[in-house]
Amino acid sequence: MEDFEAWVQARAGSLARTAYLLTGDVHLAEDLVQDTLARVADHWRRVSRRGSPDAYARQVMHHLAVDRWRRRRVRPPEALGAAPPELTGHGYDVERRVVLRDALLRLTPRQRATVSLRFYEDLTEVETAAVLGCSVSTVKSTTRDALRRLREHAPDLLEAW
Amino acid sequence: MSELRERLDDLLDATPSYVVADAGAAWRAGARRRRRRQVGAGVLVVVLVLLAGLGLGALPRPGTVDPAEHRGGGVDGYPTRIADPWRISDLPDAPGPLAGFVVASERGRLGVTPGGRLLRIPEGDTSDTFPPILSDDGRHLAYLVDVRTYVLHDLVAGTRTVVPGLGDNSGRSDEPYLTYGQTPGFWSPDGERLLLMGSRRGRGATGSFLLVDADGTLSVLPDLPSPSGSPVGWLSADRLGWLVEGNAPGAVELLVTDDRAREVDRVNLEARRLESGSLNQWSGSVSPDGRSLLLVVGGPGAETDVVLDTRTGTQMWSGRIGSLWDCPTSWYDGLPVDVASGGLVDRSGRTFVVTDPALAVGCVGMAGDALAGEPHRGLGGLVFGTRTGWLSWHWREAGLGVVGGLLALAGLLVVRRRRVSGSAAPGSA
Repeated sequence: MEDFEAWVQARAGSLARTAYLLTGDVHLAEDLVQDTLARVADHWRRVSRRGSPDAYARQVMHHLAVDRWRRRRVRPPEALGAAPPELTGHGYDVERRVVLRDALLRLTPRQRATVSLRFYEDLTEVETAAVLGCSVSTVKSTTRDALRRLREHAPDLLEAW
Repeated sequence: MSELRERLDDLLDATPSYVVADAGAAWRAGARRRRRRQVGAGVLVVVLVLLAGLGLGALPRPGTVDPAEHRGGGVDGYPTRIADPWRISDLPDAPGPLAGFVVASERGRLGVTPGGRLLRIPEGDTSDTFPPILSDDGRHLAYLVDVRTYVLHDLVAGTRTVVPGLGDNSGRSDEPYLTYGQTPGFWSPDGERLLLMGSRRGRGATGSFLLVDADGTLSVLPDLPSPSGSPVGWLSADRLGWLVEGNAPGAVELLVTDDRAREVDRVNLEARRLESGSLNQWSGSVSPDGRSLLLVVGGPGAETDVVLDTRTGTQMWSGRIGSLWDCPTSWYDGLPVDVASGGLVDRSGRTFVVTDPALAVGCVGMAGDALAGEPHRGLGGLVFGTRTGWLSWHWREAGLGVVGGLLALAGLLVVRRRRVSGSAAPGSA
């Protein structure tokens, strides 16, 4: 368990950021992180022996984030927590973060997962497809749709690309 | 796209201060998941093993015979249901005594154990129909394997004795002796001798009947005093019965001879046939105890059957049973039984043995001792009796389908529950 705790200590920040990107809510992100860690702990012996706990955690977290939408007949409303992290700071920085977060919340969970993997985790399209368990062409189309929607909701912020 | 990356970094920069990971709680949750999975897998294995055990136990196992079916040398019971199994094994050397046999158009000649299992009786390419001949104690079975090979099979000792020089009556056999198709044969009550219709091959041969000892020794019986006689079976260990025409038109007599066809007695039968000169090999049959004789009287299309006392010739019963043609008569409770829809029907009209329609049974021959013994119902018989509905013949398949469906449903529920419990939190409102 010690090596698991050490790994969590080292990766907690990264996991928290990705979870927040995927959920848009502090509490939901915390739950997603804990669920992900529980699954990693469940298979810790195997994944640590293979030397791939980061990759496994990434895959589990993105799957959980997408599946939570799949399991529901009606897509649940996004919950906005109080005192979100983007409100730290002042003036234009805060406004810019809020706009980006709101735009991200307009995406579907799969689109957010794709954006996370492609533009935050810096994975290639092939690697993204492998993590999400879909084809490369699906990753391409999902990315295209996600960026189009982000541009629609944050034109000033994202017009450069 | 690096600009988007920078914006995302900026957005998420302060997140770790708000989202806290608890490694200890995660480790404990992981241990709980692991334990649940292991327990679930263990339970599933136990359930599958139990189901497999129950399922296999309920299925017919051709080729093997329970010790309970094999007490002593003779058969002591019969199955009430003869189902079409998934697989039929060849008749092994020593399956134990058989309760009978069926001739099924879809499956060929099949031995029937007292428990209802079916075993394929060897059957080669013969030119005619040669029904197997089963002794009354179910221990001895005689059958033609191919045009040149006739076998006496002791089902308890496991010996198969080829009768030297005996083949069928086709031109493809050059054995010195031949036996005819579509004719009955008769085992003596002690199972030591077999009477067959047959003769020596070639012109000028005399005698129309063969007597075969259990060791395969063959002899030709001399011609009967009455040349038109047809054998009806053994009246005792050393007495044979023959149907011969009497002096009056339509009159029939029971000729009693010793085992060398020498006349011992004649019994006038209290019955008249409508047409004289029409006695044939299927006109009569003697009961296993030798006391009763079934005689078909009447002409074509107007047959009537009578049962007569072999000692006095008096009539004890008259009525109509199914065709005797190509199928030996089975006796139950002192009277011949009818073969209807592949099943056996007693004289009160009660069906007491049913066969699977999938077998398309045309002939059922049951050993006398089998029908004198206890019925073996098995699981299917206990549940369905002698009902013949679809489910009564396919309950194994239906049961396995239900079990498989339940297992699949249980698997889906387990998967769904795990997914829900494993990740209900992210994004839930």
